[in-house]
Amino acid sequence: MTRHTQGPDVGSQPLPDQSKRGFMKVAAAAGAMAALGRNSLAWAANKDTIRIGYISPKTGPFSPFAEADDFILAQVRKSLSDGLTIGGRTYAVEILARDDQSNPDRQSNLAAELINKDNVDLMLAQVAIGPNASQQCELNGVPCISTVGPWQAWLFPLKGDPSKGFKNVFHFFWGLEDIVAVYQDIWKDVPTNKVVGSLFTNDVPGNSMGDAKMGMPAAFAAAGYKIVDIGRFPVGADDFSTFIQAFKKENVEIVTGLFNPPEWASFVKQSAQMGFKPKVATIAKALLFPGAVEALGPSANGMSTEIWWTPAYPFKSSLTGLTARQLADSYEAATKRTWTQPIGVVHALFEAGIQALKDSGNPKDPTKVADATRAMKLDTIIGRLDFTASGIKNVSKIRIVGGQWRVENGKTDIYITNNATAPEIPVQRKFEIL
Amino acid sequence: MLIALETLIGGLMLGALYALFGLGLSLSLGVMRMINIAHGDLIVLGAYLCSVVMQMFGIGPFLSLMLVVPLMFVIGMLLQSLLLNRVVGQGTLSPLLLTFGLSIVLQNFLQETFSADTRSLQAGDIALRGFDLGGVSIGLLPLLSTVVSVIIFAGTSWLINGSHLGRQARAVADDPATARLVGVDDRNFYALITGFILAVIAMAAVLYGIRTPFAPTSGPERLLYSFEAVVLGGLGNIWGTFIGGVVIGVAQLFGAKISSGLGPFFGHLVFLVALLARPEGLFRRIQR
Repeated sequence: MTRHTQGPDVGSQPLPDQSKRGFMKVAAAAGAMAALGRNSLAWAANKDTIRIGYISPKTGPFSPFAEADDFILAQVRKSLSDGLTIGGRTYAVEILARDDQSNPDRQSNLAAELINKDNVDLMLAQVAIGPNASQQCELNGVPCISTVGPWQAWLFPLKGDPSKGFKNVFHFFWGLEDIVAVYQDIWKDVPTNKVVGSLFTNDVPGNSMGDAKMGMPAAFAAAGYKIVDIGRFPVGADDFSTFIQAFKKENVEIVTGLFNPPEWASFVKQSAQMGFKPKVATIAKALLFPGAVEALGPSANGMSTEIWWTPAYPFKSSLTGLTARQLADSYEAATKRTWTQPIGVVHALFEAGIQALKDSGNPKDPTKVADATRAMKLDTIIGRLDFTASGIKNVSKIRIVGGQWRVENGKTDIYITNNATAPEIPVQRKFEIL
Repeated sequence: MLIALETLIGGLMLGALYALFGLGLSLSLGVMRMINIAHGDLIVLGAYLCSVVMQMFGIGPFLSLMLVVPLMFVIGMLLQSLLLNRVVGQGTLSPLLLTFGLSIVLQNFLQETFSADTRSLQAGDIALRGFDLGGVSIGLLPLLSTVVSVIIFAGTSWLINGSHLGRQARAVADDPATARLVGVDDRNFYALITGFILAVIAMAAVLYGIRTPFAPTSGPERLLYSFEAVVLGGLGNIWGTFIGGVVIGVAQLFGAKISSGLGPFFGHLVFLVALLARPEGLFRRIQR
């Protein structure tokens, strides 16, 4: 196994911005790294210990995706407390969790450090901000499984080819084609004039999802919807009057796009003030987290979005044996917080990682672990992961369905309303226009 | 034509809110010659205080001001007398550094206390209502914000230019040493002014929190708009700050008409051009 550090970001200072927050993060990180470095030395070069690196955005703007990390890690560590027996040999398992602070450069540096200093046998990562951990692993010959991010946003930045794939790195998530299918499934039974107003953020995910030729608007137009799209809006925008004027003029009845929660809240309020009442609002990202939806108040009632995972998914964990409902309940009991969709997906990341190690026969051999992942078919808490059948090398799709938020008696809940994309997941309620 | 009118009115109303963000900054610059980098974070702090008070007593955001305004006033007085008074008058750099640090402390305090989740202040129906005026739709909340902003500006302007307190303020601003000679304790006076600034911030914070959800890290962006309003209007000129805010608001909305993604950019652009053409701001401070 050869290990070089020649990634473009390795060795660069983790100071992409000179803001005070940036400085804070670096200062805090330096302290954290010093502390962690001491601990890990004690474990160095232990042949009977499998080390798993885990990188996620524990802090920063993407922190909601990693909100349940501590809880999930505790469950996973508990399930591995007796070690893993692979090929007749029992290994202790150590998980080294790192916080990339929602910063792709830091993700690179942490991955390089986990690879070169901590000698991890397997890397697991959340790559919503960019596939930098995967890039380091591919360069250094360390098997890596990642999730949280459309597969296009993982594969293409790595300069991958869907028909060729990669040697060491794997990813599971949905793709743009899946979210398009879910949205059309939601809209198909709703009587509208099929005029869709679309708005996307002016950032990397927004521009790729909203691309007029390759993105979601193009797919909707091909399916017979009329698209009204007057351009992107800046991240953090608090005025949408230009869009609302255009949507009113074109008589838009369906609103879709990619929003961060604050932007969506501003859009909703301003629409109401300006007398714009779309029949259907199906939005990515902004409607993912219950906290953000609750902040919208009663106006959130009836909004729809894609669902990655809910406690109603009829699957159970291959690690802990818990059902989706039990996992959500134990999270809510332990943290007093509402369950979120990434919990299931991040839990499944560990399921996939452990399974790859088990299947490999020799967890210390990176090639065998990678080969085991390439052939993996595993029933997880989010349903079956299958790295052989997606049509995209090194990628497994996950099941997504359509859901609608309902605010009733002051309680905000999401229900599965449309499941044509994954019929094995039962519908909980009918989609209703409110 | 109607659309242009609607955009203009929208811009005026957005700008009035930006101006209100800037008022506190304008006062601390005008009276204490001090730039408060933590200004935006104090706005966010005010919004969080409202949210806490609303939850504790189950009241609406406007009613919560009954408690939050006095609370912020006290916080302001303590902040000034315990901390900021140590650096006032020691050049421009010390207050800048101190409030820079304060900003980081505030952001992390908020994050630690309230987590990174976004929150918003629920005003119920009022935030969603709007009316149609001959084809031009106007939101009730933005209109209300504008009225509140104008009233606060008028009140502050009278306080500074027409009252005994204002005479003291101007005296202290011009020459603290001489003001002390005639019996104005500038340190206590500064505490009073900062208390007043934070009370104004509390009101801006409520209007902000109803309009846009906020998170512990939302402060610096508020600071940027505040700062532009103040500088554009001319340092220390109260009504200048109002006009400055309005100009930026209108520029943003018309900019968004040109290219939907570049609204805030056009706001910054107008600021830059105005600064190049008139470095002293649109309305120069009245010479004394």
